[in-house]
Amino acid sequence: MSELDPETIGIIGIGVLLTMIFLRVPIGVALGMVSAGGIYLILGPRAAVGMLAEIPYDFTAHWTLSSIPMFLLMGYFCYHAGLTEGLFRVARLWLSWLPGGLSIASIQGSALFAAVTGSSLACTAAMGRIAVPEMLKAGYDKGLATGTVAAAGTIGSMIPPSILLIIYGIFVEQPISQLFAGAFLPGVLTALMYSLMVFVRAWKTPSLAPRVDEHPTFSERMGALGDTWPVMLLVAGVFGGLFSGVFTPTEAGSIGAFLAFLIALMKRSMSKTVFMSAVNETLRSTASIFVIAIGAQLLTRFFALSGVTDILADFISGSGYSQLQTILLISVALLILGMLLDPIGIMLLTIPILLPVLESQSINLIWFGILMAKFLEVGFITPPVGLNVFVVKGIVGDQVPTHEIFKGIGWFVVMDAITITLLIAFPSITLWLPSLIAN
Amino acid sequence: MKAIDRMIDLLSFVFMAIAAIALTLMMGHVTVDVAGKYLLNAPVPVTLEMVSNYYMVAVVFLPLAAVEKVNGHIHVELIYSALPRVGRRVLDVAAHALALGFFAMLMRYSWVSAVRKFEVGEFIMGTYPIIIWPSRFLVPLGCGLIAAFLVLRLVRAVIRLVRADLDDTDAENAALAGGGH
Repeated sequence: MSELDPETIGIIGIGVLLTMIFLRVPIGVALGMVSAGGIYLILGPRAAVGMLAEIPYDFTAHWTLSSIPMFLLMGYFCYHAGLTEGLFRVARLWLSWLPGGLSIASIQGSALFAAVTGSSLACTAAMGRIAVPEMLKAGYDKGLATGTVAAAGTIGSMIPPSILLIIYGIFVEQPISQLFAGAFLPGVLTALMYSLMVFVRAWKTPSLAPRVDEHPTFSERMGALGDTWPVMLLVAGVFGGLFSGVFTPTEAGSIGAFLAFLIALMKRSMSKTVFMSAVNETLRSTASIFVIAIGAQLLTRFFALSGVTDILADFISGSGYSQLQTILLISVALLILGMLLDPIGIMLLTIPILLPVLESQSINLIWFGILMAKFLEVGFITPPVGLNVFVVKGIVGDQVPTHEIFKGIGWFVVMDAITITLLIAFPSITLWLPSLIAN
Repeated sequence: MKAIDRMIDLLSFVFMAIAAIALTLMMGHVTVDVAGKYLLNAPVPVTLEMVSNYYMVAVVFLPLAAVEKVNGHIHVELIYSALPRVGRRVLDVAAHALALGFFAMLMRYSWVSAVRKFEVGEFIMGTYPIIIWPSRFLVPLGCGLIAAFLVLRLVRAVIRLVRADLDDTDAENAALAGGGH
């Protein structure tokens, strides 16, 4: 159709796409427009019109994808009804005697909350509102107090459910339950590494985190634990059902949302406002995620037609890079992108490019998905666009300057580097649980 | 312009309400289906078809305009916030124009496709045959409303580009950024 050959159109397309995104065109719009233009140039107007007419509906009307709004709804019910406040209380009563105890309690509280929410931002916001004021009141270093919550929030998209992993699973055609199972231990490992670091730092420099003088009795501790049983039951039911193969992801999410609603009713914390806020936020998040996903679906077609992804795959397999070298190369790219772009955007932008490369190197797609999620999570807390940091900043207001929060993040990023190294060196950390469950 | 504003507000409220009902029905329908399947050995018929072809389509396309109203479509602030006022307004005009182009095309082409499915009476065969052409029209409806809203935003961005005294975009953006998370 056009003077240019398809590969050139593909390469120019990538350039135009990135330019648009950095100039603040909504990511989904940039993906869609570039793909439509590219397909038009390669195959002509009929093909471009046909794809714009059919792909948005055909992609959306999809059973597995409906787990995204359902898991979002479950998380927002728990969040708006305050079902998660008890989690920090439990963690605090059990852990506050440790050096850096409040900080460790926030990390463990976030890990617990992560099991009902699939989003880092929700996790950070929920824990931040409760835990940051408590730590500041106890005289904690401001960077440590705020950094803890921003970093611990990243556990939200590791421990299942994870919206990021559902989207990944759909695009690379891997079962969601396998991805969820694979992310569990890396999520727990992240929480442990963070806690260990806080423990050591608070133990070496007690002024960072003054001890809180609390001596809860055993019955107080058990009582607080008892208060959280409905949420624990919810988590056990939803993931027990999913991993044993009884529920599909959509069923697990729907039942989770419904149970969260019932628990909130039972605890008298469900109101019209809570219900409407949860529903509204679910709808907004779902629609904005799907606009990008539809754009990415168009981009996948465009890249496949242009052959530009084959060039990259051939280049990498032809250059004799080993699996490890390929992974390291991709890691650097993801880290750089992670500092600049939104995680879901990066995931959807890079999968069409990376998938042929990963397949040509026969890299395990479950393992890679978890690794990718972990890299994107680091992007949540690194400057200049650390979204979690801005959430925390929104909570503390003028009390703590933004650069101090970023400073507090530093040690957590170091721990993430160690965690990622461990995940690359020992794939069985990720792949052991998926190998145990039914497909 | 005020009247059109109110009209779009009203429509986007109605669309959000319908999407909210679809979301709630999705949760209820699937939960009852699972309960029926495992407790009574009687699953609810056509659950998969209703969830995929009706509830999902409503939940994704009807809120588009409401999302745009709170700047909720995911974008990157990086360079934008470092630019002078005029630069920011030029990017606003460009972004709104591109978004308008995209959603207007989706509206136009998905409408043609929906009409074609209506004419052939599109249905899918599950346990029972179920007609799905009506849900095809949700795509042009949702995309049409956001396109209409983007026309307004585009006009406003152009006015603000040339008339610095009328420009309160940055205050608006800040208010929206503070409101959500």
